[in-house]
Amino acid sequence: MIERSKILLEVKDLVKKFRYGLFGFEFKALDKVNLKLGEEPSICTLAGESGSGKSTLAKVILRVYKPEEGIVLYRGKNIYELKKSEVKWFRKEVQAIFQDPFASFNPMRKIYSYFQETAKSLADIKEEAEINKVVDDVLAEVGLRISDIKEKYPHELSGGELQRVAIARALLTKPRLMIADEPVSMLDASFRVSVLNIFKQVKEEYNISFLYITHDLATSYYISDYIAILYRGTILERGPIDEVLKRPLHPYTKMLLESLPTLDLRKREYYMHPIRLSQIEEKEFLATGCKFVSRCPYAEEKCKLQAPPDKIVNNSIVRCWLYHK
Amino acid sequence: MSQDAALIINNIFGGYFVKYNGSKYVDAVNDVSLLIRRNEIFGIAGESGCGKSTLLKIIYGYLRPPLIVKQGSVILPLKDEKVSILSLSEEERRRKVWWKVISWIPQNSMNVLNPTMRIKDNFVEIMRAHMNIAKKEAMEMAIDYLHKTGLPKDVINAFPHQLSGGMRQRLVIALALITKPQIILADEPSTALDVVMQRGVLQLLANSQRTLRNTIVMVTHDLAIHAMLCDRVAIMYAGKIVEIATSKELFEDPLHPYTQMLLASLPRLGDKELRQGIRGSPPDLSAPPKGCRFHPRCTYMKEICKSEPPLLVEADKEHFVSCYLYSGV
Repeated sequence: MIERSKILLEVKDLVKKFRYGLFGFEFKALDKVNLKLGEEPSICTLAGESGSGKSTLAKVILRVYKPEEGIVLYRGKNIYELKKSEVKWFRKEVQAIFQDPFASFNPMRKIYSYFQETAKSLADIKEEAEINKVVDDVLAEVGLRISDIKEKYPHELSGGELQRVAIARALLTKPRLMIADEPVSMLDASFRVSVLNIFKQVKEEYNISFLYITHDLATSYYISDYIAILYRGTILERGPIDEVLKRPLHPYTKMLLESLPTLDLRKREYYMHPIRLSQIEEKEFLATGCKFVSRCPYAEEKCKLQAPPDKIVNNSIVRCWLYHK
Repeated sequence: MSQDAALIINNIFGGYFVKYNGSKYVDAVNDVSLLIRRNEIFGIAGESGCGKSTLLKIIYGYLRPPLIVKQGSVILPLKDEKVSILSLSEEERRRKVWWKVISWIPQNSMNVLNPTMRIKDNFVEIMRAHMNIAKKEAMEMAIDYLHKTGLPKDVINAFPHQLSGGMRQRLVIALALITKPQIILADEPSTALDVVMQRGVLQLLANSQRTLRNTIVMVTHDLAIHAMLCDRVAIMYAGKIVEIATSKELFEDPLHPYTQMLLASLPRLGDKELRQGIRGSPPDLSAPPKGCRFHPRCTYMKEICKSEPPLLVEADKEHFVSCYLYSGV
């Protein structure tokens, strides 16, 4: 789909295992995950419910967890085999924003000190006057001024402001990729959309791609170009956002979309149609076949025994036996 | 006083006394009055810190420091008497009101289930404490009840931690319903769950309401849930109720500027039109603004909004709003 030389990030057959409890069973938090982001700046959503492995995938891409199998290539380089000098380069190129902005900043440190530190260590700017100038620029991008934060501690800002500060700090290193893990789910609804608007604007103006990790399909549709749907450690469907959310292929994607509560009261009756729910999560993680089999209305014998491989359908890639006939 | 009232809440003023750099009072619920009816699902919506959970705690009479009620009453009309919940001692509330008449479903199910006990023992304990039945009978009833609510029978032998969050939450709901309470107070009952589980949990709640014909007071910040579930919805902002209407009116013809801006800011699936958030932030409730508490963020702000708080008036049938745009000056 995308030419090799034009790939920003490529995740290939990634497997990450965790052990549940001290002597408990081992399970795959990520099971053969494939993902590609092109050079062209874009926003790609990783969507999934809690426990689907979306944050684990983010941490593998950020070099926090080392995967057991598979590789992650950033601009063609295996991120787990970087030389020392390349590690710094990688840190500059790939920045992260997390869910709770108050947990990202030390409450005892003034916010501005984070900007100074990042400017000096990663952006290689040493002059105080120059630091001031670049900090002013990145803050302007998120609608703040240096005087708004200069003498302030994290608790003196609202959650929405602090999340904007986190984005501004990340912009200092002129990254190419930002991993945003549930960046707006802790924010109040009235702040949420302004942070999402910043992502859109920064993508255009700074040529930055985003991996937007969320469980919220409405905000995902609002800002994303692509989407990957994760379930129990497997990407069941991925493709352009309009394809996947308007013409979903996988039974799970369909179920997700049907279960979304909306502000449209005409959907009420439909929302109350009874559905089948998973009962024991452990069993689903350990399933050898398709992980969705116990909840799938189309499940057959084959689905229980063997996990389906990726299949290209239209512009999407789907992992379901329904499309192998 | 209406015949079909399930709860009558009169002019509640409540909040928190906190000692931090001297003492201050957080004005979390300010002059709230509500009439909640029998056989309805009543929603309370608002952003974090608007006082919606505090209001629910006050209705339940769960008053633990630093929470205090300065003024107001919560009347619970029962068959042969009118109980004033806040005038009872906690012991009396526990005996007369909690579980039997009013059940509480919190956000985190682990706070209700005892982690060292199997699900069946959790059920039996609650049932025996409130229903005066023998252990064997309680166990049979619990199994039968779980079957009826569509939950798998084998979960009865599991410990809480072995179940998924959604399953646990459905069990807590089942537990809250088993004593057939007249009123259920649900505080963000599905917030920590994914959308599919959430749908299952809300279906369980709605179906049981239809069967028992009781009252559910549903607190959540998620307006889409109110739209899917509630008959009427109240919107809170900074400790005040700013609007009350039927779901249809509220979502199709909102009146208060805050409700309008909030609804307009929400991204919807299938729509990429650029949306705007609400400028500014909610006020610090230890020093709320004078007049209308929304005035610093409001685009329609007039002089009077800065000094006098507007009253909640009926702008349309069954549609109450607290804003000078509708009440004149």
